[in-house]
Amino acid sequence: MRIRQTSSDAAMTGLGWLVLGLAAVFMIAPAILVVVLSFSAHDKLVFPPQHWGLRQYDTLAGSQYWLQSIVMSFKVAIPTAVLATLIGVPATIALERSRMKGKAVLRMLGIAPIILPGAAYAVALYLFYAQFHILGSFWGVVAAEVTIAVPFVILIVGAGLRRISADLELVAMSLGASRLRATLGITVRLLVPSIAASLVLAFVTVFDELVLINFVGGGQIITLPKAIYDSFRTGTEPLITAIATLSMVVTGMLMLISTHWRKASADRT
Amino acid sequence: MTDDPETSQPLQPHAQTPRKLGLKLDRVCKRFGEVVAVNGISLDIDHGSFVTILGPSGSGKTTLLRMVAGFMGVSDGSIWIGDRDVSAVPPGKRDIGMVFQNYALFPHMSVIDNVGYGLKVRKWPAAERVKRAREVLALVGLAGFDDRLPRQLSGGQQQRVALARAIAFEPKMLLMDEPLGALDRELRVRMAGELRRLHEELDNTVLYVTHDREEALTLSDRIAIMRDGKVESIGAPQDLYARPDTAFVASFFGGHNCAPCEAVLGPAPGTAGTVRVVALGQTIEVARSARLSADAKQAGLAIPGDALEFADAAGNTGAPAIVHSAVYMGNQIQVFCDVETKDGAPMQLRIDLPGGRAVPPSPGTRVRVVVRPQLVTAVPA
Repeated sequence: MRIRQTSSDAAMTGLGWLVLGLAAVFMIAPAILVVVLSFSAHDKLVFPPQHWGLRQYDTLAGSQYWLQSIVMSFKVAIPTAVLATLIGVPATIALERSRMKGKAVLRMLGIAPIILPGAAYAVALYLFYAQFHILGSFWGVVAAEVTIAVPFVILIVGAGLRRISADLELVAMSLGASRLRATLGITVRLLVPSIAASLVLAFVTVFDELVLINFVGGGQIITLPKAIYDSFRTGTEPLITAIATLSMVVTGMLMLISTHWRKASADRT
Repeated sequence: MTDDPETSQPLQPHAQTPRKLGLKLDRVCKRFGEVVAVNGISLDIDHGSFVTILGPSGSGKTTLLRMVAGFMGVSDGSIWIGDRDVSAVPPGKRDIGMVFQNYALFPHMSVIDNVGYGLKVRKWPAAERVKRAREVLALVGLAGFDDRLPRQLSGGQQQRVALARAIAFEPKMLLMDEPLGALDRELRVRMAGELRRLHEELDNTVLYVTHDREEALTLSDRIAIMRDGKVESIGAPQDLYARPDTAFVASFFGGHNCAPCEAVLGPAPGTAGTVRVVALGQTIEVARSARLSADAKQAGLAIPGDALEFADAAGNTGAPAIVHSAVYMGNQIQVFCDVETKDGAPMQLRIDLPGGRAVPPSPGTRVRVVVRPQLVTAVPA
């Protein structure tokens, strides 16, 4: 059946294009600008660039400070993502499948760190960490970052889990499997794409995280976003455009992969 | 239940001598806080029989099944499979196969792996596992579907895989929770026939849960009718249909009319198990349910639709009534009549007339309804 387009439909279509246009101007254009600028051969930020080249990437490759900050970002983000998954997956299964009281409250608490205003949360953690003299400690930073990575695990794995029938585990148990085998072999096995997706998202979030690291990093833990932030206080280095471009490419790819996994698992169940 | 061997001959085609117990429920209770879902059910089921638990939703039938499966503990009482008390045994060690309404096939496993799962858990070698899984798949008519994934199968095929998976390791008991509920009507009837055929071939006890009385009629050796957490009545389908022992069984299971008696005149002289009553303007002698005491002062009548017929509208036999509506159904015509009662209480009866070429009476027609007492049972009011 053909649906006749009314004037209000036309207005809605126009509004849609307007929103898309604004999004393009304010969100995508700056990103493109950064990519373009990263190929300028100037030693200052100049727009439009007169000379083009890989100068920014060359400098980056030769800079211990920047390379070390990238390594530090990996060092923080990888264990954080792994820990958040190890904590988040069992927690999510308990939250979704058990019949305990106060589940909704616990779930809210679990995802609160990404709902609370970031700075307020960071200040609170700062005071707490100062009390115990763990400001600037590596595992202290990881612990802080885990709190904002766990909500992603709860949200993504929770969504995945709700698509998996609880009866599957019961069937496995009726067929002779132990509870552990049924949970791991069926439910967790079916959750693998969701778990992988949440691992990637947790990694990306922590890799890019600036607010907590600023407060609890104590100036010793310099991750990439922290290094970029610090460099801006002393002036703008054109090198940042190269870093920004690289991290956009890597993040973008990871997000594509994770979306693909989630979609694949959604199709299957 | 009457134990009179003349009137209730339980149908147990698999029963061998001596009778072997398949499942025994001993005063089984399940409480969720204040709510009593299953209230002291005791049941003995012979090995090899097909028993259906039939009840409306909320009657506790699924809770009972899940306790037998071991997914839930009993609050009280005990459950025996064969000669073993399994009340505290985990589901995997109870030697049961289970089929769910939504099939619950493992979506990431092929058909052959789904069917072989129970064997794999039991550590069968791969080659024997595949061989056995193929045998069972052939039994349910799905040979050649080995490598399909569940999502590539139709609902009926998925149901067959679920069934094959549940019987592959030859469990003593097969539990089914409304397994045909998600299928369309035609397929449901065909699958019911196949379930019955399969049951004849396999040496196991089936406990089947449904709210569909047709399924229960088609499949079962015995039917337990559940209501409010208790077994209201249990018996062979024929007995429950022809001689319901409560009004609930009569209406929910038999689809019979239930009419109050205007007076109960006591036992008919010279015949045990009968009672004389006044109902629908007639004094009749009808069978008395074992649940109705011989000296009861009040009673209801369970009247099958085909135990009612029309008398001459101008005469004075039977009860005056007005046709409310009539439905032509091919082999029969269902006529709904509003009967004029003495106390003015509304009473509607369904009368099943032979169909064929007969023309349904039009609404508003004045008629007189008479009852044929042979098919009627007096039950507690």
